[in-house]
Amino acid sequence: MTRLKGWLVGAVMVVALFAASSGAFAQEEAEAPPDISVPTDKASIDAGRQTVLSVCINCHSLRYIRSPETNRPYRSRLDDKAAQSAYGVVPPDLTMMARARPGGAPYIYALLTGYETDPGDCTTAGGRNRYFPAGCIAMPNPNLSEEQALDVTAYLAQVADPNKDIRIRTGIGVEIVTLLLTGLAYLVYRRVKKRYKH
Amino acid sequence: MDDLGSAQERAHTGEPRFDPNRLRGRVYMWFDRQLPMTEFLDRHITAYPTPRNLNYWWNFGSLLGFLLVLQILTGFFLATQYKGDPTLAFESVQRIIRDVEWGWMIQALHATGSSFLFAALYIHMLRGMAFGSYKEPRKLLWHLGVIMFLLMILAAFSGYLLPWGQMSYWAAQVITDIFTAIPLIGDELTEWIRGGFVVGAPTLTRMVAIHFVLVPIGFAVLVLLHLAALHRVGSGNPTGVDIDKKSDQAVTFHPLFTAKDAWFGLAVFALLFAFAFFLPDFFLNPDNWIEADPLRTPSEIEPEWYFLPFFTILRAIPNKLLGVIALLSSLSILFFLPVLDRLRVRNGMRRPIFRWAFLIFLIDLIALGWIGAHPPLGAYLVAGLIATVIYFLFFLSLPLISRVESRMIQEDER
Repeated sequence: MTRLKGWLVGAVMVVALFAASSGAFAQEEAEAPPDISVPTDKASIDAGRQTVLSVCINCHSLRYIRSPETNRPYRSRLDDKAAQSAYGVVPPDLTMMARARPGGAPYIYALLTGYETDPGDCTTAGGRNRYFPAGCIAMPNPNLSEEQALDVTAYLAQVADPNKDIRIRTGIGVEIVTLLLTGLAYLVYRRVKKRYKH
Repeated sequence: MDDLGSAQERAHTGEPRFDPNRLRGRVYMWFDRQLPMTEFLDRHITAYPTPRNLNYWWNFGSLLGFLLVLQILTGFFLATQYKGDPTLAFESVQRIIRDVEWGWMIQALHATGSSFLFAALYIHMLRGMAFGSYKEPRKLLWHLGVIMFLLMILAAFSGYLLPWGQMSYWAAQVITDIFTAIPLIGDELTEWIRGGFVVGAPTLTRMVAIHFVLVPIGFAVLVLLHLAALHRVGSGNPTGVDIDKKSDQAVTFHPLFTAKDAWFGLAVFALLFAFAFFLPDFFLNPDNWIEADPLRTPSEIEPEWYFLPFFTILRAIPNKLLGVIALLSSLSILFFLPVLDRLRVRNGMRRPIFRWAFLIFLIDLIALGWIGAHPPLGAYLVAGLIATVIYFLFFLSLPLISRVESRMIQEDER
């Protein structure tokens, strides 16, 4: 009976911790980005890279990665002061964008395709975007096709998480080894424990 | 493997323990002549008399030790590549993730490890509360533990500033701002702590010093003291009645508990690796992947999940000074637990009133954490205030609860 109660209290403890933690991730959103699968194929990523380096780079930087040609960080073509006076904000760096928003990479796709005709209540350069938390967005519509938007998302997801493939492959190996060791250690424990029963 | 209890017997007989004709025996003897090596290991690990009825809630202490080792090892490798200057810090973390061999893995393990450390610590502390581990003769053990909890808060706070992300910066700004609430000296004190009017380069440099020097040395000393205090009185157990160390209620720590701690520790690490490798962002605030910008406040400043209950207490009272007093009281009241609860019965599950009060306290902790993730407006503000009152009410009602329960026990005995 006491044992059962002990477990009950324990279960509550664990629930408490998880509930306390899950609260941290709940974020109020303008509209949840649609559930898309971000492409991971090289063709998409390369196409996305082309678009980012010809369109996005006009205003945004990717300063934590380097161009393979010049070995220099990608700087935006718009300087901060000009951006501030034209749009009221400095456009955010895009290197980590796919991990720096609650919606993750799908949010980028949603934002790029979420422009709406502005009924006139926005004073920002971009007008209304239904996935942007504030509603009115400073970034003008880059007028990308859905495919281009998807490719840009693929590229930015890759840039923000460059080790994804090796991370998952290593993780699977590490899990196999750790779980195997856990199993073995558990068997050892069971065997040791038996010797104490009398 | 040795027979059961042989390590303990060995410790008590004077006969030579090792075979002088074998290399291994000679090596051990060489060390033992000059250092109390096997004596120490016997006393504190192999032959440490341990209650045989410990359940899995008693596994979290050793788990905390394993997790601390993980943090120190990964922390060391991160420190070899990290640059503690506001113009370089965020970029150096990017270099670690992108260019340093296996850097992404070390970074993910360290970040995930901190969340696991807090989860294990909270379970360890709640176990101590549920089973009365803070009572005589383990009061000092509890006090040392509470000091380690405070050190852990400092470790988390100082470490969180280092990546120099948006949330790093603004969390530090908000938390150091707490000190401005102190009358008369508040502003000067805050400036002194930050090393400037706002969080900046001097703040980062001192957090590096705290995180790299003070925190590990502090833990090394306190862990040793905590273990020394534990081994002086011996481990408690779920029944709440201390065992007779000479009876068969006690077993040597090895092999039963080395085996138990090993498998359980490995299982938890399997879970930790799952998060670090497959969901590295799970515990992180996305805003922290944006470099700190002192001119742009994030829409919501929110601490990591493990600080949310205390964040709620800080914001429960819409008055800065009172909020700060509530926060500091909520932490320091833990220190007075042995004074507040004077009933000698340790196992809280056997106490007719305490067990319900403790259940309410657990639910209240969930509530405090959940409320902390929302802005303190409207219903959340009211709920936060109620949950804060319940938090303190639990502790402050303990003298009464223990007195009533003590009377109930006396009546039962009659």
